[in-house]
Amino acid sequence: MKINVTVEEIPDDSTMSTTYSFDDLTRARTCIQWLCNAHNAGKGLGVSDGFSVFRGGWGQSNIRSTSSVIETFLKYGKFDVYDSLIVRSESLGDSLLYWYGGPLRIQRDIDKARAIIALSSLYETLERKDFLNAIVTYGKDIEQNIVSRKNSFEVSALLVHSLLELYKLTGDKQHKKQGKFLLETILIGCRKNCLLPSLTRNSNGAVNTQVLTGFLLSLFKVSSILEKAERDDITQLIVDSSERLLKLYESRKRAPYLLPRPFPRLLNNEWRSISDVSDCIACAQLAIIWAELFVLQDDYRFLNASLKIIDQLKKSQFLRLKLKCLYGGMPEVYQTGISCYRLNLSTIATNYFLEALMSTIYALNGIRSSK
Amino acid sequence: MIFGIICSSKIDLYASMLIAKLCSIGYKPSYVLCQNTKKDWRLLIDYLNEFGFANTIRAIFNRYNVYSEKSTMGHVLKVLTEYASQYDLKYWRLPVQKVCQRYSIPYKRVESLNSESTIGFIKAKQTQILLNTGRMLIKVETINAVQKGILNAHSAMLPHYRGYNAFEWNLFLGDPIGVTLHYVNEGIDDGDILVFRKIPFTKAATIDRLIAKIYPVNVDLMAEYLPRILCGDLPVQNNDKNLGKQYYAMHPKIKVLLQRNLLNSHK
Repeated sequence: MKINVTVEEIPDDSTMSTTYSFDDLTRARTCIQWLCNAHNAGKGLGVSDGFSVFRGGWGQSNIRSTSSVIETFLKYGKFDVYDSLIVRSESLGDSLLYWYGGPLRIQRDIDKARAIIALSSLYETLERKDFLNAIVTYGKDIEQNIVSRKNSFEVSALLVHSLLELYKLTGDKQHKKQGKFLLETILIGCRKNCLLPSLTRNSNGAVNTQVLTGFLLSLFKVSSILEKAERDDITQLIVDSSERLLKLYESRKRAPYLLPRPFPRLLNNEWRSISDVSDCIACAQLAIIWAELFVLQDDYRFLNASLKIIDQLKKSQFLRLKLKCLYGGMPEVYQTGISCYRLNLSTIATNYFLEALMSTIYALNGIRSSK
Repeated sequence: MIFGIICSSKIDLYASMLIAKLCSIGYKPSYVLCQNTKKDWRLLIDYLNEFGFANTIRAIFNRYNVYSEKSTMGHVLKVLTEYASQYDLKYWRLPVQKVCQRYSIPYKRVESLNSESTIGFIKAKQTQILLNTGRMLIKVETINAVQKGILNAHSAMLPHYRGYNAFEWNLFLGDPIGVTLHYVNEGIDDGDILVFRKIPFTKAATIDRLIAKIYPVNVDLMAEYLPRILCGDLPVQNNDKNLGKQYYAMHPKIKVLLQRNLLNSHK
């Protein structure tokens, strides 16, 4: 596996991350290799959702893991001299089309939205008509239900993203209109109730940080599609929420020169941690948001926090034994002092970790070339 | 004229130098309070847990090896030695308690500066001013116990750079470097500002060398402004939070970029 990106790796010369003997690009390559193994384990039916020693092997494939890996393979396949990742992403697109039995077999709106986003990326690269037809059919399904179904905010944000992708491909203004209507509903709700009370809560009344970061990441992608004049409100919401999360994370410090304590899995209404466990998917999503915000706002605090949270994640990546099913994978949760979580690896976590790593590499390269 | 000094470590060159300087100009502190920081052995366990044995030893060696060019302490000692010889200051290399003994200043070690007993002590002494040389967070009850307020020298330009590693952030983002003397309030580096003094940016190719230059400026500012505040209130400038940002510990990768920028700026 070769990522053909020219990156001058910055050596770690200080105490904060000297224990990590693998450079970022090596880690990225191991992530891609692990994702390829997860694809192989899916046996032509998508990408396995992960590997667990406790479960006794690879898990079944699902739409979330398959669609997110399609985007990753496409993104990094463009840098890959062998084009193998593009071929893999196309076969995953086929499995989305055929194995799930066409549009009717995907029941949930959220899965349809994920399929639209993944297939849109594939269509942009490969220009296959059957991908476009499927996207349009999924889009119609979503639009039919958009008023009648009351989706949570994080699902709605993903639906908006999918509708705007559809608009980008087809140029049909109806999709944009529907998307913007839904987006306005989200923004009004956030202004009225504040952000955290508007998100799905667990039985304890706490918000899972993965829900929050997933919501913000979807909004980020939505804002990148919208025109500049249309995205001010969303950008403000993302910046405000990210600053609060940054403050929460950086305030979780231990001794000087050490990394802050891991980012919590659960938050209460006052944006305070109520969990000792850390969610690797949420951390990786947060790292991506912060790295992107740094590029957008030129605020180095975001890049700084992104690098720190990635250092935290690096501790969880499995690189001890070169076992095909484990090497390079990222667990779903992290807890200080407990190591068995490392044997329960997640495709989504590995995928987001890879994206976070690459986001910070590009951000650092951007600084070097500009200064 | 009752004023005290608060520090957060028993070995604090800044505090020792400040005591020596103030005594040399005839302003002997009424007392020195030293807050017990985290136990050294607990800090060591944290380090070992985070970085492993070899890296911990290397980090300690790099930090405290005064003969090494890589060591921050080495640069600080060099700068302070020059400063002390300029003003003929004595005992500044000793631990704070020993310096206090030499100058016959009452020294008190406290569990916390924000505890009731410490606040009671500060009130009982009718303290006019406290000079802060440590990095602890001070609560509003302690601040209110001091008549004129607590002074702190912040190693960056306020109100633009608040928080941790502010000097490095100040340097990295290209603003003039220096020290801001300000009053302490319940927030982080957001009390009223007395003065900002620039540090000249000359022939210092490393971050450590520049950081070392902060120490004499800190001492000078405290020694210069203390008598003026004791005589009467000085005008202050509002520390507008909205004009700046709070920064946090700088990641090593950004520090490396900063170091490279510094090296390139001298080419």
